[in-house]
Amino acid sequence: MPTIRFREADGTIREGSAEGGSAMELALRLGVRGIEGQCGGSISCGTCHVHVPPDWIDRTGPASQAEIDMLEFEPGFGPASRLSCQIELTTALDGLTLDVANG
Amino acid sequence: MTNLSTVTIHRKDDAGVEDLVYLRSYRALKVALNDWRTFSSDTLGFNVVTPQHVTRSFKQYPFELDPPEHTAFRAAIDPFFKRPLTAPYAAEIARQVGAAVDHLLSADHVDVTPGFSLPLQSRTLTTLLAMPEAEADLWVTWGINVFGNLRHGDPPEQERADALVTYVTEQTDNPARYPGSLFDELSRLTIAGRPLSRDERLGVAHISFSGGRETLIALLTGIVALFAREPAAKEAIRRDPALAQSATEELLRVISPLRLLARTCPHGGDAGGVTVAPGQRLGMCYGRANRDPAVFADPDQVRLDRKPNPHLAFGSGPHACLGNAHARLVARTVLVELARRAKRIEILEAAPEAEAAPHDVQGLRFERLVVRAR
Ligand code: HEM
Ligand code: FES
Repeated sequence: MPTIRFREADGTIREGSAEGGSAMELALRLGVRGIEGQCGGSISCGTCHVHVPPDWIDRTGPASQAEIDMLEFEPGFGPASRLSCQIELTTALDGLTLDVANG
Repeated sequence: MTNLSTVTIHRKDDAGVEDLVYLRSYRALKVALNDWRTFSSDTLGFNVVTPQHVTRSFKQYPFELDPPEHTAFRAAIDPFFKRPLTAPYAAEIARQVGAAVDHLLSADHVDVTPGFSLPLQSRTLTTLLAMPEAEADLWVTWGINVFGNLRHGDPPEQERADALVTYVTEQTDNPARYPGSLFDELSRLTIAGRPLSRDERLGVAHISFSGGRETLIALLTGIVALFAREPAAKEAIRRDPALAQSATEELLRVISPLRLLARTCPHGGDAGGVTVAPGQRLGMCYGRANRDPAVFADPDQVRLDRKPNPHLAFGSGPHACLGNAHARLVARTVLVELARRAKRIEILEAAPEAEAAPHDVQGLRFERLVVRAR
């Protein structure tokens, strides 16, 4: 099971593991501040915005066009932006730290 | 270059109001909603297309502000409107939805909008505003079109709009009556160290009542209509309640409870390829943009599992709906509870809303819907 960390806007780290499911779902279970996941992963709300460290992008994959469309006007949007509901948790992501975009 | 699929300009004769530039395409609308420097919300009453019912002397806050004032104001009231994301809040909504479904299933027949959607909207609003549930009995008497702004009005609508101003004024001036309520919180809130003015408190309260009323009512009536027309949709959610999440987003897209608002271009600018003059007003067509075939395949089809579904039913950018967490929670709870408990919903009478104006969209919107549910 991969272990993933979320760094909240104030620097607080929350850590957890899950097999399968999305990073957004894990964040909700951990109560990560700034991840609301309001649309349940339908790419409708943008309340699961995270930044992926540059050296991990090849493993998470970049944002899809739909994710870019959702996030392009969000504060903090950049090349490292992803919707965490679209990041599937696999063992390849063990040790990943995601930065939460919203406070 | 004028691209007519992006933007339509209606002369006085078509729209009956004034020359408005209507943003109907998804892309043009989304860009404009995020460009507040060009497309301003800083008006009193003119962010709706036909502002004949402005009976208030104060702005609706933060709806009628532009950044940077908007930013600080919104950040201050945001936590209050995020309460729907907590478990005790969801439990309270579940209780209120359960009682409304009890009534729907036990009454011989129900005129859905006044008999189910309006009372449920008002009861759940007491939870959002942290007011006693019994206050909803009064709010229900104001009827459907309190806002009076979204439709052409007649005198009774005017009276109801006045009733709303009278009510929020009375509550704003007696904020300690209900400890923890929106009125109480607003009286103690500070923005950059200063308390809110009376007009600011009135303005937040006013939009909290008006903005979340017809919108949520239209969504709730649409849910009942969907289940009545397509028992398979009800069955799918009964089997897999998690489907209620994407289903809520799809109903928001198809119904687009708020189909049209306005912006003003104080300095002129470019709107979807059309040059607009200083002072020009624009119609923001959320409903049309949500049917844009460039973004949504088979846009008139209801697909409960549609993903991605980047609809603009709650807007986009700085003014994106502050009540969205509440509205989503109520809609999801109704979908799950009704799917679980209703065996059959029969339509006794249905008058779908006609597509009348260039910003309108059809589908799951009703002038009148009477059902028998068991
Ligand atoms: C299905 C239900 C609802 C829909 C479709 C809806 C739609 C919208 C839309 C499209 C906007 C953006 C306006 C703009 O672009 O200028 C908005 C703003 C707003 N809505 Fe809602 N709304 C709903 C329910 C609610 C509820 C329940 C409340 C409760 C108080 C609410 C309060 C507000 C407020 C305060 C704003 C202004 C936010 C700002 O200017 O920063 N809405 N809504
Ligand atoms: S949860 Fe809504 S976009 Fe990710």
